[in-house]
Amino acid sequence: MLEVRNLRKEYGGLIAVKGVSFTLRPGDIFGFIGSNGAGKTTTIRMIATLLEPTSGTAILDGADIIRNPMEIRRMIGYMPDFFGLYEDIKVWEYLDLFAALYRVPANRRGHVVDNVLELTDLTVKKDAYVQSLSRGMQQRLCLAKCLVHDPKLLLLDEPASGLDPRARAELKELILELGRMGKIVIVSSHILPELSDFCNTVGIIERGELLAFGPVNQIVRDLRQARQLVVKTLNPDRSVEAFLSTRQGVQAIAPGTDGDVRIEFNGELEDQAELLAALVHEGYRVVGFREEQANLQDVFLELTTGAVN
Amino acid sequence: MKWNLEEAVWNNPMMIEVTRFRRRYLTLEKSNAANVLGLGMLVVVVVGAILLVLSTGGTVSPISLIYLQTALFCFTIPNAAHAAIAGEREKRSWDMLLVAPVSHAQIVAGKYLAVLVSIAVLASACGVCILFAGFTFPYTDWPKLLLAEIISITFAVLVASFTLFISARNRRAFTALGIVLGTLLLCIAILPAFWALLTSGMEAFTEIGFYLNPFFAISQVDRPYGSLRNGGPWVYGLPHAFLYLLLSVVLLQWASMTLTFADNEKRFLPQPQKDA
Repeated sequence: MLEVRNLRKEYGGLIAVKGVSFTLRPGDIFGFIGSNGAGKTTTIRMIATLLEPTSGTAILDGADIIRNPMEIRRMIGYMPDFFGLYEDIKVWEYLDLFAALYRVPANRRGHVVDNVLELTDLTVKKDAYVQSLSRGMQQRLCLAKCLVHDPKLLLLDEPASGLDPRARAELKELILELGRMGKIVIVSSHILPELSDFCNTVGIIERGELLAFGPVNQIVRDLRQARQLVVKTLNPDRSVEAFLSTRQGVQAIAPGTDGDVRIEFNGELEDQAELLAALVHEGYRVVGFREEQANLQDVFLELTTGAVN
Repeated sequence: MKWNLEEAVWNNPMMIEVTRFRRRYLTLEKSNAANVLGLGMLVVVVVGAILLVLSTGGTVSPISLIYLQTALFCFTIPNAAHAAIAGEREKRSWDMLLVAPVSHAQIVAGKYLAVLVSIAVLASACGVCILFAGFTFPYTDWPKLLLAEIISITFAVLVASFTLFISARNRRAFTALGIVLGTLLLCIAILPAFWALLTSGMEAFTEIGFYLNPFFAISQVDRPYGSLRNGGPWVYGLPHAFLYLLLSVVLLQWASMTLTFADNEKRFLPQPQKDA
């Protein structure tokens, strides 16, 4: 389990991270969302023991990043947003080096290297020089490097940046697989729709402050108490809006695009069904009736102002 | 910073640096044009020197080749080692190394031993020429030749430590190279020249100022023993080797304490402003 407790980082007068706290359990895939300069990378680097927090701490399975940094390092895999690989060594040598750095016994290293190469689909490149790999493959190699010691926590800072759609899809599958293996995965990204696809928990950070944390659905629910319904009828006229405004639970009505009507509705699914039945009963020829789900991007835009430190 | 020999050398995964170094500078495989050119030039210089020694029929003093070797060290070692740490910072591979459970001492030891390989290769290549000259030169004094070689090699070890130290304190490999070459030029040529001008006529003072200069030390070793200022290997030769090695240890220790990284962060943050 990872407990981040009131993590704070100051650079002179600048507060980069203001007391961030959250808890993650094995198998959690946590999407860390924020604009550039919001404090994501600083938070990740503090958890990775690369930056000393001004105050606060993080505890991974009982080990503290301040008191036991070496123990933490043995339990984490860190993939920075920008990284360089040693170009003058072969793929297997690179992984073998990191396996050795992470104290994987010499007699197991070959097996471990083969396993992570297979997991990251790089087996065919085992004997290739690192410099000959494409950007996507280098990204996968970096991820493979993070896995050689079977870490409990993976810190992936913008892992999908610069990848083509296919490589992104493969990376997503890989991260999901890692989550299924029981690892805690922290992923920071700007590509919100992708994050909501595979993260079971998200955190939205702005100006170093964690504005929201939890499962995507819960954050959406917390932000929007009322449901957003979209009703579309044949030959729409103003009478639909007038009729809807008289119904219980309807809080606000606004004409939408393409002749539909958008309703802010406070009620449960049963109430929605009754509203639809009433429309039909009243003689309106309903061709569309759906609840519009807020997505991560809506939530992000609603919660944040775009300000940076 | 604790230095444990077993952890730093025998059980140090960073020894792969030696392989990387060998691949980068000592093979044609996967090497770039500049390195191939450098390697080619080394071969040409060594072969040329041997041919010169043989063709002149014993008129080339082996000590003069040790001067040449020392000068070669001053250029080749900084070129080979300047990017050892600064280059990693520049390429952004540094963070991944620092986040691994490896000590700073192990990182420095791995990088340093790789540089020592270059000294070994150069010293071996030059050693062949020096041996040729030693056997053909009629006045070769082998103990003095050995002492001069010790001064030259221990100075090379110091240059390697200094380069690694400067590399550890810089984020740009090219800056590190400039600082090392500039410092060597200043300490070996420019300052001694000024000192010689200032102390002209006061030979003892000149000698004190020049004491640690390897070229001067080698020239003193080459003098006949028994002169007033020359007390033999205990004045010129062994103290130099000891001091060069001592300085190397200090610089390496300092380098391992300098492997900071947090300051990299500041570069990517905007100008400080009050939190709103």
